[in-house]
Amino acid sequence: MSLSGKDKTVVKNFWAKVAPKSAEIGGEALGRMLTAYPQTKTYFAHWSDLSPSSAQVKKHGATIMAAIGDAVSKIDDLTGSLSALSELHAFKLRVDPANFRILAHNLILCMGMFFPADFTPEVHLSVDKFLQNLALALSEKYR
Amino acid sequence: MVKWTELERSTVKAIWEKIDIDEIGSQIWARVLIVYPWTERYFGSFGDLFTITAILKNDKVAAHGRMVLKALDKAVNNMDNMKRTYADLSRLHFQKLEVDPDSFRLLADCITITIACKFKSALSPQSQAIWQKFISAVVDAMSSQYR
Repeated sequence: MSLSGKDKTVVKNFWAKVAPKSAEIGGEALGRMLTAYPQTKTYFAHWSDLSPSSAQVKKHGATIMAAIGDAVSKIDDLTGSLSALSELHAFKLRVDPANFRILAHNLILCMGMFFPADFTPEVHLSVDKFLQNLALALSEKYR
Repeated sequence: MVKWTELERSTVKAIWEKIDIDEIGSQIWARVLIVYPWTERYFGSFGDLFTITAILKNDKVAAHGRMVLKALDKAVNNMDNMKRTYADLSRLHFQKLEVDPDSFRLLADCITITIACKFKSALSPQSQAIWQKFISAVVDAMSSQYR
């Protein structure tokens, strides 16, 4: 399900709207993921506070969203631009790629929550495809 | 059997009471068909589903969404008995409608996202977690007769 020209335009336009709130959305999404999908907590056992209000959670969520924003700007070559991050997730973090889908769901939920009028089904479709392609690029180095 | 605390029961009911089935039902079904277009395979008789605009305007899509959401009412009122409550519907979806049970998961995600868009920050992370547990139990119940 590769990204069409239209998907890329839709994602870029929506991202431009989302950008001012991206750190907040990222923190919120990560907090919700850890709360609603407790199995994901296994990757963050080294943090003292895994609640949605945790400073560690909010900071890391912002980091993730910044990386996603960077990927939006390099949307024509996700595999290339995510190569280093893929190595990190594959060899060091060893996150089961199934969890990328779970995080994507929570990112989408938060984007819809913050921008309900802009998050039309059409935008939802392109963003879902984008996050799926991003997850694929992130899993590239796994095996 | 899934166990529910009093807080979980009251949270699910509180969320459910605030949902306008007519409004949300029609929106949810259009969202599923648009975001996951392969689900259209089950709706050959619904007429024009060829464009996003057509899907959003389609009366049969809206009506079907409302019907499905009404059926969720059964789960809210039978949280201790979901498998038995949905046994017949599960069999119907398996044997007659031949629906891939993965579709139930896609629908569940769209319901959750639509609720989040509507309630915004009023759906706290804890409430989302409880809703997720509830809707996953519904998906399990709907998949239970697929053998």
